[in-house]
Amino acid sequence: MENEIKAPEMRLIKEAVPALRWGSAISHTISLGVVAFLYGIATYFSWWNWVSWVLFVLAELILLSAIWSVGLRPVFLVRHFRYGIDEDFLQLKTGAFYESHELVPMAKIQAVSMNQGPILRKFGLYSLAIETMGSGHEIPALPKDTAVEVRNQIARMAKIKEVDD
Amino acid sequence: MDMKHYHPLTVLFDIIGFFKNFGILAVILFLNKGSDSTFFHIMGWVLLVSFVYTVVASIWKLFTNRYGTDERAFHLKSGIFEKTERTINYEKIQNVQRYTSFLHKLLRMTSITFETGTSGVNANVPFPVLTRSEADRLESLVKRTSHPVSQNMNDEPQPDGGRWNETERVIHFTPTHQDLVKASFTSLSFLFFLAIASSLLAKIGALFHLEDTAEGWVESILSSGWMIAGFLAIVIMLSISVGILITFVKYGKYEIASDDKRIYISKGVLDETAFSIAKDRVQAVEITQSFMKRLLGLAEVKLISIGDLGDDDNEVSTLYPFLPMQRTYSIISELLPDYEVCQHMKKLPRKSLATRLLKPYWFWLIATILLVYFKPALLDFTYGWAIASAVLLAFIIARRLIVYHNTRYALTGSQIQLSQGMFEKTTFITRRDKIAEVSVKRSKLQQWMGLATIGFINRAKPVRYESLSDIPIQDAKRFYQWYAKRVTEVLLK
Repeated sequence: MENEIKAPEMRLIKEAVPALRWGSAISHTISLGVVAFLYGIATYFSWWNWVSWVLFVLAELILLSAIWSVGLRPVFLVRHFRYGIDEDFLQLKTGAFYESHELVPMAKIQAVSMNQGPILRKFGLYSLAIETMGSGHEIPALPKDTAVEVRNQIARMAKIKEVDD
Repeated sequence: MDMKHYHPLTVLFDIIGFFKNFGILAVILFLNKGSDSTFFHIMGWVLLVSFVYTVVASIWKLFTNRYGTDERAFHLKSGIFEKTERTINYEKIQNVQRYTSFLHKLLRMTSITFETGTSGVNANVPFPVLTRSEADRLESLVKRTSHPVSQNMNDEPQPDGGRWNETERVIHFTPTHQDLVKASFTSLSFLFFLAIASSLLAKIGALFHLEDTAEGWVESILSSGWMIAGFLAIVIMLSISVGILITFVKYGKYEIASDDKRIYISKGVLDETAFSIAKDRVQAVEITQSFMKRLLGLAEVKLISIGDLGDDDNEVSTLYPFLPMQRTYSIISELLPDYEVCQHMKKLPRKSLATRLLKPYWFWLIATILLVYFKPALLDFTYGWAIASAVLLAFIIARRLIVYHNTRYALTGSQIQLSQGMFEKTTFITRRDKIAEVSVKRSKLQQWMGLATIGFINRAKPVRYESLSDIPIQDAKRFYQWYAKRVTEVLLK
C-alpha cells in the first residue's frame, strides 16, 4: 500500500455510533414534521397543486437522506474517521468512498471549542470544532476526558504563531 | 508622543464626496423646485440636513480625531460622541496604498491607506487627505519596521530623519508606446465603438437607399458606397484613437520598481495610485491570460496579499495587465527572488482525462431531464429540446477536454505552481510557508484509477482556495509530505 497516504492513528470510540444516530434521527424527524405540517396546511387551505408536489418530493428526499445519515453514515464515519495531533500539525482523515485527508499546521489554528448538544450530553460525549483562517474542521464525538485532553493539547500548540500572522 | 490633527482640507474633500454621492439627487430636486409634491419637499429637507450634518461632523472630527506615531505603532483617536482609541502595530501592516486623485494633485495633497490582514471595518488605517511629505514620513515608519534586518546592517544614523533610502530602487518596467498600443487592442472598448458605428451605418444606408429609388440608383449607390467607406474609416479611426487614449490615461505612467525589501507599483496619469508591499508579505503570484491576451502573447500578473487591495477601479496589486509572456517570467524572478516560474510543468496523465470524462455529467443530466419534461420549442425544430441537450453535452465534453489539455502543475523546492483554465488561463504560484492548510481527497473513481484531488488554502482577502483534481496519487502523496516538511522553513515568533 505504498500509494496510500499514511492515516493518523487516533479513532473515534464505538459509543459514538448511537449518539450520531440519535442526533440525525431527531433532526430528520423534526424536518419531516415541518414538511408534514406544511403539507397539512397546504391541503387544508387548498394551495396550488405544485406546492403539495414540492413538499411531497421534499419528504421523499428527507426519508432517503435519513436512510443514509441514520442507518449508514454513523457506522461508516466512526469506522473511517482518524485524527492525529503532533507538535506541528493536526491531521484528519475521513471517509472511505470519498476519502479525505487534511493537514493543518497548529500555528494556523485560530480557535478550538468543545460543544455538547442534548443528545451528546445524554451519551457523555463532546464534539470538537477547530477553526482556522480559511475553514473549519470537526471531530464529531469524543468522550469528555479525551475531548478536554485534545482541546488543551491543540490550544497549547496553537499558541505558537508564525512570523507572518 | 504628540497627537496630530488631520489636515484641514479633509473638510473640503468630505464636502466634495457628499456632492459626488448626492449630486444627481440634488439636481433632480432642484429641477422639481416648483413641484408641490410632499415627497420632493421632504427629500429636499433631508438632503439639506444631511449636507449640514456632513459639514458640521467633518469640522468637528477635525478637532476630535487625532493620530500619533511612535517607533512601533499608529495611535488613532476618533469619535464625536463615542471615543475610540486604536493602536495598530506597524508590523501588522500588509501593504500600503497611496491614491492621488486629480483634486489631490491640484491641492498638492495625497491620500494613504495602510492595510492590515484583519477582517472587519477596522482592517485599515486610512489618511484621506494629507501632505506628501507627511505621507512619505508615515510610509517610511512602516517600511523601517517591516525590515528591521536592513536597519541593523547600516548602523549609521540615517539622514533626513531616518527616511528610507530610496535611491536603491530599481525600475523594472515602464510600458513603451508600442506596449500601450498593443494593450489598447486587448481591451475591447474600440470594438464597442465599432458596433455602435456599424448600426448607425445601417440606418444611414437605409436612408440613402430610400432616396436611391427616387433618382438613378447606379449612380447613387456608388456615391453612397463612397460615403459609407469614408464614414466607416472615420469611425474606425475615431474608435481606435479613443481606445488608445483610454489606455494611455489608464496605464500610461505605469511603473514597477523594487528595492531589496519591497515592491512598488504606481500608475495613472490623472489619478495616481501607488502600491507598495514587502516582498516577504506576498502570499502568492497569479498569472492570468484572457483569451485575447493569449492570442497576443500577453499576460497579467497579480500579487496576492493578506491585506485588502482596494476596489476594482484602483486595484493596484496587478503588476501590469499587458506584460509580454516572456517578460512575465523574468519580472517575477527579478521582483521576488524566492519565486521562480517553472516553465516546464507536468501534464496530467491520460488516465486523468479518462476519469474526467467518466465523471457524472450532473448539470447535463438535470438540464436534459428538464428539457425532456417541458419539451420547449427551440428554434422551430421538432426535436429542438433533443438538439439542445446534445449541444450541451458536446460543449461539456469539449470543455473537459480543453481544461485537461490546459492543465499543468509543478512541485519544485518549496514552491507549488498550478496552471488551469479553459479559454482564460490562470497560473497560481505560491510557497510552502505561505500555504495555510492542505487536503488530499479521493472519490471512489479516483481511488480505482490511482488519482487524487489536492487542495490548499492561502491567506488573502478573500481567502484563496486552490485545487487540482485527478493528479496521480504518488504526486498527491508527495504534495502531502512536502507540506508536512514546511516546519523546517517557517519562522516562529
